[in-house]
Formats: sequence, structure tokens, C-alpha cells
Amino acid sequence: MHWDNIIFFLLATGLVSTSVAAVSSKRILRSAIFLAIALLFTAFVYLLLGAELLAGIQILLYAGGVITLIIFALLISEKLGDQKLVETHHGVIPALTASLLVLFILLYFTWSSPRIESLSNSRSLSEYGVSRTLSEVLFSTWVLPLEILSVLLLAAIIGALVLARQEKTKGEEREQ
Amino acid sequence: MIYIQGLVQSAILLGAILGIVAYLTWLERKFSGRLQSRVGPYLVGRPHGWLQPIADGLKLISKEDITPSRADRLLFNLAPAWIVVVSLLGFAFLPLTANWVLVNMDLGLLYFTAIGSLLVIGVFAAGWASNNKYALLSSLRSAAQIVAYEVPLLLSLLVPAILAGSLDFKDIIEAQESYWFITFPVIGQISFLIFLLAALAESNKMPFDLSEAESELIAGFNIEYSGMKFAYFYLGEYAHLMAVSLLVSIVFFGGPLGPLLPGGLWIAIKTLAVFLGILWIRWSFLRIRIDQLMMLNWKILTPISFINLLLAGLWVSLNL
Repeated sequence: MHWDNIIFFLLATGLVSTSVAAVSSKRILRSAIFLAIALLFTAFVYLLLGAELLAGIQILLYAGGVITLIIFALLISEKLGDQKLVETHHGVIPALTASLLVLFILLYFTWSSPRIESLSNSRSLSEYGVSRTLSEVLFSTWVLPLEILSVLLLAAIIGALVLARQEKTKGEEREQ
Repeated sequence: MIYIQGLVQSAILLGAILGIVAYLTWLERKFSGRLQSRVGPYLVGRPHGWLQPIADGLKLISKEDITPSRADRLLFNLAPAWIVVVSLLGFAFLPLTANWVLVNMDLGLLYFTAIGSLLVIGVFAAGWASNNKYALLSSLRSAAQIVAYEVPLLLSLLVPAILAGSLDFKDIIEAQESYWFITFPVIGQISFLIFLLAALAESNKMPFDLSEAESELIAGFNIEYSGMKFAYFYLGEYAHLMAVSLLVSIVFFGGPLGPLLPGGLWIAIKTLAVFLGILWIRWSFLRIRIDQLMMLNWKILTPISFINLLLAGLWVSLNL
């Protein structure tokens, strides 16, 4: 318990400092890398709480996949090179209100919700392990939402393809 | 207490891997020498230059460490460390004997692939922070390549997982008691081939090493690195290759299963065989073009691996 606390505070310090660095860094690619590290720290916190599957997915999809896409988009876009981002303070008040509101909602519902306590007391570890239990539940009880989600994702992919395709044909016409 | 034990075990594992990786570079040089009718390193350390890796290491340590003046210092220094750490982390989830693995969890396969997907960030950081157009081009190329080949890589790895009904390496090994997954008719061989190709592409190895195409991009994303930082990239590359060989030997060749010899030895033999096979591919084929590479991935490997996955799923669900 003692060691767990120390490790939690180390992770939390890392998480907070990399998150702040991601926002305050003036070079845009540095921000992306700090964001990747922050996401990794989040995954470690999940691991510490015993959510192994969630941590794995976090690393695979967010730290691996999403960050790669972000960096890819950054490198292709033109705002790179030695140009440093100019720090402005135009939207301080709306930004502060929005983030304080989110903080308030999180804190309020974490403390007031009666389900939180029961959740923290129940450590449900089945004998099959997380992946098997989750996949069984996913494909029996929650099969309809899962399928609807996958159709939605498929539609998104096809939509992206159609958009990319149209751009290409226009370009070809211009060349001719 | 459990943390201290874990620290000691991982330190031992780390030392062993670093030693083995150093000698894998020697092995590659000897092997490629033989393939090209040369002798390879010979003079340093008399029978067959066995001191060569140590001499290489000393040389790289003693070299001047140059940081380009207009480079992004933080990322420039972070990138080699990132690549080494990520490449070595994968070993934590791979079982090294029949019942010893550093991190024992039932999601080993998922974690291994998740960690592998982090490599590309290091490549990006290195290429961009060097402030060199060849390095940047190279890192863009290798990012496109890695992102694309992630798809068939994961899909082909799922086939053994489906056949074994688990993501746990131990269950995957146990499921191969009666037959290795490579011998599974059609499905096994196809997924093995696709995995091998995708893994070669992901680790930027020879038929797919477009990110370091010397004739076009000088030497790729690590062109500005020198001394020990360059050695880090080298180390990361070989550690990743060794992890991939180990994974193939576990997932497709039954890992520690085998007659007479103890499990750890079998795993070592199989890993070495797979590693030499990869080297053989590497030194036998020519580099392909980037459009051919993408075509191969999206139009051939990805559809085939989808069909293969479906077939494996059908077989398992019909047999249950």
C-alpha cells in the first residue's frame, strides 16, 4: 500500500507536468510528444488501478495511433520549421470558465455520487481474466450497441474515402 | 518487496538482452558476409573476430557527440532514448521459458503490439528534431509505412490468438502442444507470411527499408546522430528485430515446446532460426519502391489477412 502511494504520486506528478508542458510548449511537435507521454502516464495510472485492458488499449490507440496521426498531420501542414507559436492571451476568461466548469463537474459528481463508493469497494476480478470476461459481455449483453458503433465507424471510414477521392478527381481535371 | 524483486529481475533481463543484441550484430555481419562470399569481421579477436561487437561499442562511446546547432535539442536527445526504451519494453511480456515471464498478465499479446506501436513516435521525433530535410523526409516515409503495415501485422497476429482462444502467451503456447500454428493448414502459413512481411516493414528492414534508402535519403532519420546516440538507434533496431523473432518463435513455432532439451533452449534455438531467416530475406531481396510498398500493403496483404482472420474465426466457431 505504501509503495503503491509513492508510485501513484510519481505518476501523477509526471502526468500533470507533461500535460502542462503539452499546453505551454511553443513548438508544436514538442507539444505532440508531451501529449504522447501524458497519455502513457495515464495508461500507467490505469495499470496501477488494475484496469489492464484499458491501459493496453490506451497505449495502442491513443499513445500509438492517435498521436501518430496528429504528428503526421502536423508534419504535412505548413506551420512547422523554426517558427515558434506566438503565445496569446485572447481567450483567457472563456477558457478558464470552461476548464473550471469541467473541474467542478468532475469533483462534484465524484464526491456526491453514491455509486462511486460501491465501485471502489468492489474489485471484480473474474477467474478467466479481463479480456475473456469483457469479450463475453460485449458479444452477449452489449452486442447491439457494439454493432451500431461498428456501423458508425464503417460509415466514417467510407465517408473519409469519398472525401479524399473527390479531391483527387478535381485535381486531375485541373491538370487536364 | 515485490517492486524490488521486479527491479532485480528486469535488470538481469536487460543485461542479458543487451549482451545478446551486441552479439546479434556480429552474427549478422558474419552471416551477411557468408551470403556475399566474404568472411565478415575477422581481425579483432582471433577465431572469427568475436571481439568485434565490443570494439564497435568502445568506438561508438569514444566518438564525439554532435548536436546540430539548429536542432531541437530536447527532442533530439529524447528520440534515441525513446527508441531504445520502447524496443526493450516489449521483452517484458514475452515468455522466455515455459513458465517464466517478467510481467505475467493475460493480455501479453495486446501489450506487446501496443508497445510496438510507440516506436514511430521516436522515429518522428528524431527526423524532425535533426532539422535536416533528408531526415524529415525519411521519418515521414517510415511513419506512413509503419502506420500502414500496422493493419496486416495486428490482423495476422490475431489468427494464432483466435486459434488459441486467448491473448495470453502461456495459453498460446499450451494450445500448440499437439501441433504448431505454423503447420495449421493454409491459415497458419498465410498469417505467418503476412506477419513476417509486416514485421519486416515495421522495423524498416531490408526489402522495405525505404526510410534509410541510401541512394535517395543518405541514411534516413538518424543521419544527424553520432557516437552513442547513433548506437542507441542501432541497439533499438536490433532489439526490436530480436523481439519480433522471439514473438514469431512463440506464436507460430510453439516456443518452448520440443523434445529432450529444456524449454528455454528450444526458445533460443527457434528465435535464432527465425532471426537468421529474417537476415536471409534481408540480404537476398532488393529494396522496393514506396508506391509498390503501399500497394502491397493495402491491396494485397490487408485483404488477405482479413479473409484469413475470418476463416480462422469460422474454423474455431464451427469446431466449438
